[in-house]
Amino acid sequence: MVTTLPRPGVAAPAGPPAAAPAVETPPAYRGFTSWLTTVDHKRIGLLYGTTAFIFFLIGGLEALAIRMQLSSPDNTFVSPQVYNELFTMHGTTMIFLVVMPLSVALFNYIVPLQIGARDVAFPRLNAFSYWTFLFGSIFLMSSMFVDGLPDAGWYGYAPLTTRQFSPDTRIDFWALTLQVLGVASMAGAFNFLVTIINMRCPGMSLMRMPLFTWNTFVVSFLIVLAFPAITVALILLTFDRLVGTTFYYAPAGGDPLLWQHLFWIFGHPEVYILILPAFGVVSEVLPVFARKPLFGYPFVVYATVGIGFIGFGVWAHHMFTTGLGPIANSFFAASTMLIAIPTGVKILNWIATLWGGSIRFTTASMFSIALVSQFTIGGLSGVMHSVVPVDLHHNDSYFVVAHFHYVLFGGAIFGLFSGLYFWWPKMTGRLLNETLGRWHFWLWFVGFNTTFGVMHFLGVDGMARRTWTYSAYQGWGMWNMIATVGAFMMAVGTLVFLYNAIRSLRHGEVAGEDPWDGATLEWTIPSPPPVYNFAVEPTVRSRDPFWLLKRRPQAVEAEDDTARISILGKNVAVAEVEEEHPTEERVEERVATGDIHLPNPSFFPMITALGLTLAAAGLVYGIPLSVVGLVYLLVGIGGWCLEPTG
Amino acid sequence: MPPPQASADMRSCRPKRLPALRRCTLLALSLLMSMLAAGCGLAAPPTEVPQTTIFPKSDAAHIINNLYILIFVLATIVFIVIQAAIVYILWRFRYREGHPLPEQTHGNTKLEIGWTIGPAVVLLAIAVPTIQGVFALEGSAPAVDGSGRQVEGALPIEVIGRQWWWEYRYPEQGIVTANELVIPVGRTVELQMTSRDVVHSYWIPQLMGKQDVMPAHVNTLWFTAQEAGQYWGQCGEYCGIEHAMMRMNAIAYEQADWDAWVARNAQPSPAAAQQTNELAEQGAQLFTQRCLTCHAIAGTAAQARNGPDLSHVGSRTTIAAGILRNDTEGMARWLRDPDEVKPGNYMAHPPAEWGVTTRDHLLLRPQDVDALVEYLHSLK
Repeated sequence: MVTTLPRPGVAAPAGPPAAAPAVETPPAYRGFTSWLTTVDHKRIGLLYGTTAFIFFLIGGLEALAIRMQLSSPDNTFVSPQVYNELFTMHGTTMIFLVVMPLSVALFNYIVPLQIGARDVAFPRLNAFSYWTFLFGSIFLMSSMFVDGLPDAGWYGYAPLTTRQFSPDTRIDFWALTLQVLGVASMAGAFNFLVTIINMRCPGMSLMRMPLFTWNTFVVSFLIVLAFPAITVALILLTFDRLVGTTFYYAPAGGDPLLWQHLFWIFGHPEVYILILPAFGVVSEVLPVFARKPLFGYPFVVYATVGIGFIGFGVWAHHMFTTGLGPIANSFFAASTMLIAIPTGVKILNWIATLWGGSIRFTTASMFSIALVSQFTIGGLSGVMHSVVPVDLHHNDSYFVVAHFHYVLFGGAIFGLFSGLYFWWPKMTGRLLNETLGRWHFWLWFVGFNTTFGVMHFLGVDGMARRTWTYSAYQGWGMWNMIATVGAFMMAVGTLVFLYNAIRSLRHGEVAGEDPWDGATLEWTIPSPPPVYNFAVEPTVRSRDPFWLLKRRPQAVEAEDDTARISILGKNVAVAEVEEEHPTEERVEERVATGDIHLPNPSFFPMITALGLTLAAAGLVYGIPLSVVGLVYLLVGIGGWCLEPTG
Repeated sequence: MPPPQASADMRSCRPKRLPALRRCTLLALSLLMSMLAAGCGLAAPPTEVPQTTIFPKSDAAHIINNLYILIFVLATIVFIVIQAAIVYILWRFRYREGHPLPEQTHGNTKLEIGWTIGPAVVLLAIAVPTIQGVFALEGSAPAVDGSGRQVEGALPIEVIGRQWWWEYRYPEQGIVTANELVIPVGRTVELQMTSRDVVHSYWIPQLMGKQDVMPAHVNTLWFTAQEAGQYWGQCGEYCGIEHAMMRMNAIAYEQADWDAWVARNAQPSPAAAQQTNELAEQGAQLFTQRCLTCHAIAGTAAQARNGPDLSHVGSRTTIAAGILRNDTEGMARWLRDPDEVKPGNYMAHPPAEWGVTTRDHLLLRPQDVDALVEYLHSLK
């Protein structure tokens, strides 16, 4: 483990005795294999990010096909069956295969750097999370070669998903994949909880933690507490489908409403799992580009925690039309209004952060500012939905489609891309081109508001969601055509970003360690960071340690322990200069002498993840595959236990 | 149609390099326009947007719309204040060369407590009418009859959701029909709704907010239509392949027309027993041979409930759950190839448990289609 590090000048303890290990460890940082065996949080972050971005392109193409089909009345660009698969996969992909893993990519890369750690608490478990996510996603996509892609919507309401109404294997793929992805998410969440609780560098109390780390912390709690609900729901569904139980099948005494409760007990916290990482990004980006600290840090922290708590008490606002009765509906209307308060506090605190600042317009800051503006719209339409009678119209109409895209695209995706532009130079050592970045931003900003802005009108005009076509007499043709045009603007913006990203890897301007005048620890180390992150464990005594080092060096010179604002130990700065461009040999030398203690790479997380996924896949593809999967699983766990951890 | 200036203004916000000030102003303008258009631009006449939610034609829909106006106005005010603040701040505090580091403020507790309590008060102001609205809509119906007098109980109508059409039963009148809900103006009706298969949602926006239609549950929904006319809606919960084509409409009749409709529909159609011409006679025979497994026509041997009741299908304005006009061409098109009209529907793909052993009903010659159309349209 990496928590105890030798101080400079102190003799490094010898490495573990070289007794013959039960299992050989693979090479660490070179070649293709090293990517399969890596346990380095930064590499796993890059794997998560790249994979999620590929799924983002797939989910985007699904969205474009949907918009093509709806661009005019009575269109037959796709059949109803294909359309239903498209919107199901668009939702499932964007939620589980894009926004969550893209957030996890940033958690992985950034959180250990922000808290001054050398890796996460359980590096191999981290690799296991990634491989489980990847294999689970491939398993889901493989359904297209069997009976076809899932087609019951991302929240798969029973009894449409029971075998009586969906007899083929599509829904089995969907349910089993969500279970497998749930394992990946839970493992990751526990990992980050332990990391954040245990591995903060000296001086970083909870109330000095950067906001992005705080949001990671809260999101991890939400995942740990929310996913069990959907796990139960999916187990019951899978039993209904494969064993013939009747939890959701009404004629045999089951209740379809049970699914909806269990799903939304997970599903609403899930909404905050999706948006809070973006809130964390904004809380980092706005202060840096306004060049002043976050306004009301404690309020923003309390608001984040408050959202996490109240988020578990609002699930039935997705079910106002199901006939829960006036008392239940009133309660959930009130709790939904309550959650608007901490959310509003955040928005106002972000705006107050900008007030009095010196705002630099970079692509990163523009995405964050757009999030504040667009999330306000999504938040306001959310409050409109808490007015139950109004929701009886808006629920499952395009008004809701507009609402959650303002929250999840205008909010989560804009925030995550803000973070991508912000931390890209830290991850790759090179800057993204700002001119191309501006094209990307404006194409997305205008395209997004065009597409989803007009969906408010469609909802008020009575267009129901998840409808593969509509008729001319319904009067929705014009708005739908405008929405489609906006979608293609966003597609062009995405291509601009793709070009910018690929170009930057070779030709981008070299960033240096601190291109934005950053405030937090990740900007004190080289870009990209050395494998061990920090040559010496840093010490912090306030919230914006790097700003203080840069702006009040005399305070650092004095090593004034009583200074109210930040101090980063002076010796750290010296050590960083020394290690700014360490050679590979130098790294391996320091690792070999035990001066830097790093976990060993391992094949076993991948083998274990493969075993888990195959075991689940066997329930569709045939039990022999499950047996093979279980063997892999046991081999993986066994090897995991026996190999030296480094 | 919505006012043209709304879309024109949205177009002016193209991604080109502009000075920061103008860029921000445009940003604000485009956002403002889209929000205003959401409120006002939709003031299109219902004939052009028949499923509009903001031209209520019933007492229940008015309760909803009044709340909508309240919350829309409040949301618009907050929207304008927040967006204007963002734009102003972006302009006023933009980075300028040579400016010193801004003052490093860390917060202001009083201010922050203020903007925690402020929204709470506004939300409380919304919560009170919301909860009143919930209890008004979900309580028992304040039933009135055609002349506005309080009466005992609303007129009950049973609604049964089916993949992908609606069955209606009028227990007091002894009528069974499908897809077109016929109601009297001024008389409160109560829909008692359940589903035979998956979850659906009943939603005719000008008359009522949506209410889910679920197996193993009976949900009720009351409203009093205020104007005679035809109102359009569609299923509001995704229910399988033809969710988009599970539509319905309601016809609100003045009292005299309603009485006449009930009198006619409570009895078998005269044409059920005695066909008016030879073509219809042929059609009746074809129906007996090929349609009995699924359909019912009062006064004949056809009594199955797999598909819609066709006792008075000739008097309906639409068929196939609101998808086709019920004219000669519409009915003929449906009979020739239902899968072409509504891909995946159960007439084209009957489930095994219905016991449809042949595909004869889908293999009609042109003259068979003509005969069936003649017969079905004679059922008035």
